[in-house]
Amino acid sequence: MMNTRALQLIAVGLAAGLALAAWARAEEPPSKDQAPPNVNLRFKRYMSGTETCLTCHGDYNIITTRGAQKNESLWVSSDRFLGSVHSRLGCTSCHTNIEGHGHRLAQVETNSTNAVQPGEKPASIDAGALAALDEKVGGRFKREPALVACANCHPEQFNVYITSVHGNAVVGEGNSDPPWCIDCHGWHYILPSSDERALTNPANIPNTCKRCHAQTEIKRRYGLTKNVVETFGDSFHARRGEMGRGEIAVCTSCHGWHDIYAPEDPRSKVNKNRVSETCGECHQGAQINFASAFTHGEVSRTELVGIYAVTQIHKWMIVGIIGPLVFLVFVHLLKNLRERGALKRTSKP
Amino acid sequence: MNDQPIGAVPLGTLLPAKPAAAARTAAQQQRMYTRFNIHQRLQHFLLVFSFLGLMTTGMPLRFPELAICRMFIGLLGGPEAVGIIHRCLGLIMATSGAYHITYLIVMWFKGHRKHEILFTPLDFNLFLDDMKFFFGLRKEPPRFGRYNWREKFDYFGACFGVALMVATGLVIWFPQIVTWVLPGWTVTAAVLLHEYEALLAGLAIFLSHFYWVHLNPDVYPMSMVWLTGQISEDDLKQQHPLEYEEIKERERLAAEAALQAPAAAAGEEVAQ
Repeated sequence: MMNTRALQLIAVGLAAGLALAAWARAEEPPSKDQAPPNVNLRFKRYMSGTETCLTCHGDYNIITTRGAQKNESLWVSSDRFLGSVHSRLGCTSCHTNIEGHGHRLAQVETNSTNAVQPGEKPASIDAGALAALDEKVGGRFKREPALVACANCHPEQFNVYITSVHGNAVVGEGNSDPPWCIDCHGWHYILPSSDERALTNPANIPNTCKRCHAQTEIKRRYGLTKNVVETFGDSFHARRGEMGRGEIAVCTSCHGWHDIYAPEDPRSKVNKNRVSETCGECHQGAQINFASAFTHGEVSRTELVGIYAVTQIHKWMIVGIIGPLVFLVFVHLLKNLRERGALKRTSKP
Repeated sequence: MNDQPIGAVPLGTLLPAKPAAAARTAAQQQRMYTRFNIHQRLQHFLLVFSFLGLMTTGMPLRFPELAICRMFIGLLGGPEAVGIIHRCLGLIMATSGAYHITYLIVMWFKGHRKHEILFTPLDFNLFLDDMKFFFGLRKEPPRFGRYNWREKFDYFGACFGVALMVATGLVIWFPQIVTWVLPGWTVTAAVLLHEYEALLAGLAIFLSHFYWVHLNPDVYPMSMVWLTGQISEDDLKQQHPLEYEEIKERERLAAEAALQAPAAAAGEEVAQ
């Protein structure tokens, strides 16, 4: 017979364990509902002219035959396009002007219900900025017409974007380096940010930003902070992300999405006036000092010297203490084994 | 031999026994001396328990990029659960430290104010002699007291380690509160210190301490002092000769006093 006291103890222990497990599970975010792909899309596609375009552009071997981008692929994967958020829109919703690109028959039907007619601009868009952009585009950059196309349907995002550090450089200065809509969201295969494969999915955001912010040439040209990718990778945020499950803070959580400004800009989420509010989104009660605990600064002889000293002292402590200790262990073991005759040669030549 | 633990067999068959060590098997028949009392053993046990737990939960939290660490985190119920367990174990480690300080204070008020564990200038000579003995420049091992230089070093290392880990751990646990008064870089420094000190302590325990108390052929498979608190007369004589002599001297004085006391009492009676 097992005594009842022991049984009680086991029961209490099990209950405590279950409660702990339940608590740990409770913080798991609800699974994002992913709508099943609409099978009728394949039929709707006929209405928008997409099928007509894909007759040629759905061929893997299609390339340009002339111009500066000679031999560049013009292939669009129909499967991936139909899986994207814009599958309902026809090609001509974005490619509003395809005359002069080798299309003799440019009379493509654009009668999709969601498509914006070429030339038509929603009233809410910053008309002046778009007009200025239209003027500036003038075919100078291959990407700029795409920005206009996006702005047609997404004026709110566009209006914020053109004030940001990226958008201002693109639209205001005509710089081709900073990212456009398509650089972060993708081209033909844009997925919702809740999709694991999306470039804008929180799990993929560091990789998306990394494409420019880890480039030595880009960092040098614009005087960007050097080790943003590495320091983020060493942070608790990144480590928590690698463990999986649950939301973590990535680049955009602190710096913003379309509204990224230089840290000195008062509109920036990481400006010293707003940073405690930004951290406070997750860390209740965070103050300005708290924010400075997370820094992209490099720990070196010139930067963050106090922390550098701490790490160096401890590093040499490890070498200076563990080294002799292990050495003594070896010496003692050899001495002890020799005394026992364990190291003597047993066989004679 | 039936009284040997199973684990003792492999190394035991590899190593010829030392003639002197063969006598150790008859340790049960020897007189035993108390080396550590129940409070000291409890403190050590709390430290062992929390240390091993903190190591096994802390390493996966630090290196989630390794698949085995992620597997272990999943096994324990996810990152949040591992974090909670790690904090609880940290509190146990802090408890062992608090227990020790309380113990020292109580002992102080009970009049026990001389601590053998403290370093003395003599330790430096003993250390040099020990090194000479290690490298064969000296035939006889140095004669240690209750604690040799390595044990003293272990003790103060543990004190420093626990104090630092508990302090930095609390800073990482409550960064918002800490940064109300302290600058932000203290949190960054605390994280780094916590990591380096964990590495230092882990290496010291697993590579050095475990050798001296487990794998060392003289005590293999394990010195039982940390569980029983008892040390045999032979071991005491061999490892801590000065302490052994002190105990013998104390016993001799006590015996003499006991002999004289009845005589004195008898003398008093006669005088009356």
